[in-house]
Amino acid sequence: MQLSEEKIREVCLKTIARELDLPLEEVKLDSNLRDDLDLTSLDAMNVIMALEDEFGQEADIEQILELQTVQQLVDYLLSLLQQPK
Amino acid sequence: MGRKRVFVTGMGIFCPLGVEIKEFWNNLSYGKSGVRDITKFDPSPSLTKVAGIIQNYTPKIYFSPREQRSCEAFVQYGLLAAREAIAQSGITGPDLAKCAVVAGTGIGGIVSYKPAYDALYLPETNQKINAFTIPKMMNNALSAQIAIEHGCKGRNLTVNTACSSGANAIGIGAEWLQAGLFDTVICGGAEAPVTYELLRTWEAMGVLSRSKDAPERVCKPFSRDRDGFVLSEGAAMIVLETEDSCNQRKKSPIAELIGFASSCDAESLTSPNLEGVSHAIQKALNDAEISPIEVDCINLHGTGTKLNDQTEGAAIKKIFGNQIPPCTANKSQLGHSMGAASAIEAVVSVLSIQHQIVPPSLNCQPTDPACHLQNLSPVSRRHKIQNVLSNSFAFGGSNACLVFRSCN
Repeated sequence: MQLSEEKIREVCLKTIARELDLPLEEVKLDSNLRDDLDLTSLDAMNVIMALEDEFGQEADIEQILELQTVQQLVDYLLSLLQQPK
Repeated sequence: MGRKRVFVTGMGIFCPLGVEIKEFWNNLSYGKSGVRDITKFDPSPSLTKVAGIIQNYTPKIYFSPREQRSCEAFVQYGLLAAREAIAQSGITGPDLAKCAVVAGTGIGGIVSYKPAYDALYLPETNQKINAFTIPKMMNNALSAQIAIEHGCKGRNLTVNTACSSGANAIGIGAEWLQAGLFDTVICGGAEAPVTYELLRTWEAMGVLSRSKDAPERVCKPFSRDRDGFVLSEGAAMIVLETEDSCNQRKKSPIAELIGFASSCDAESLTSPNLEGVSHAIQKALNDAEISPIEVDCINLHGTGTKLNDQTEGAAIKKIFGNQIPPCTANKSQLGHSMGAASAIEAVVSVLSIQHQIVPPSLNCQPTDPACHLQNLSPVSRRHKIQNVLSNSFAFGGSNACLVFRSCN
């Protein structure tokens, strides 16, 4: 079953907010992960592990660490989850 | 060339009796207690249900979400005490960048273990191993985070000698200044051991008080009725500075640190030793180049356990004979904050000099004749104080004594 972009976006925003202990409304699609959300490499690890559990799919940590915005993370997950298995 | 003189130019505290120096001193000298019923977890399986607790601690008041995620409580307390100490010292910019940091903790990061272990061994708890587990639990997070927050690029050391950690940190910092290695050192100790797991493990050793008295009456150092210590939490940091640095900055010091001794009983991991304890006291007095008669106040280790108090009292009797100066047992009001306790008591020693007051010792009456310490008062006493001896003795037989002198 393929997940919709809307569902991926929703899970992504909620996961980032939970792992960074931020109110959900502070996490926006155009938020810069480091400059706006203060995400460190260890936070990224926590977010990645949570998303992997959520979607049951292994992510490429190196690639994710290079992403700048929440939207880019959503796009990455979308490409990962919607590619044919 | 003789060693450089070392002065205290800033102090900070975060503990059950106050979250800044003024509040702390008011509460301490007034005889208030920071020992309270434990409410942050259910202590009921334990016979001990009280601890020294910082009330209404709200990390988000002091720290960003990122800092909260990456620091355990013992580091947070240490950072808060360091902020106050550095602010009081007035050290900024390039001077702060050259500064060294020595911090003491006996237990360090303990809280982060549990969710990680639960994730490994109790899958039903649905825990994950947090990526911050290691950086949060490592003991040197304390000294490192102080350096990171203030940009201190000098030596950076975390000392662990259990309950004398803070005093050893201060003493080591003083030695670096005496040797001319640095102009300023931030030093002290921090601990956050009030957890269910630590309550039960300390209880298993039989060293915690099981008293059913009201919380403020539980810890009874040197009393005939004492039956153990009370766990506590907090931090204290001081800024030490050389005389040259004080002069260059035109900074009036608060007190001088004139003596330090650190030694090991080399006999038992857990039982104090009269020879070792008295040796440490005598060595500190020798280092300060003063005789026992010149000590105007003793800040006691005084945990409230049978053996510790009796040994400390006997050591003091051995050195001071019948001329024991007024003493104070701060753990009667604060409980025992392990690696932070001796740093807190060092701050109390300096405050005693500043205010010319010997703080109270609660619950000590009737005193135990075997401890030889009759000179304890439940209320503050005005007293001429030039020199204060601060004692700390720890598991591992690690003893550390400091001597502070008035600048007046």
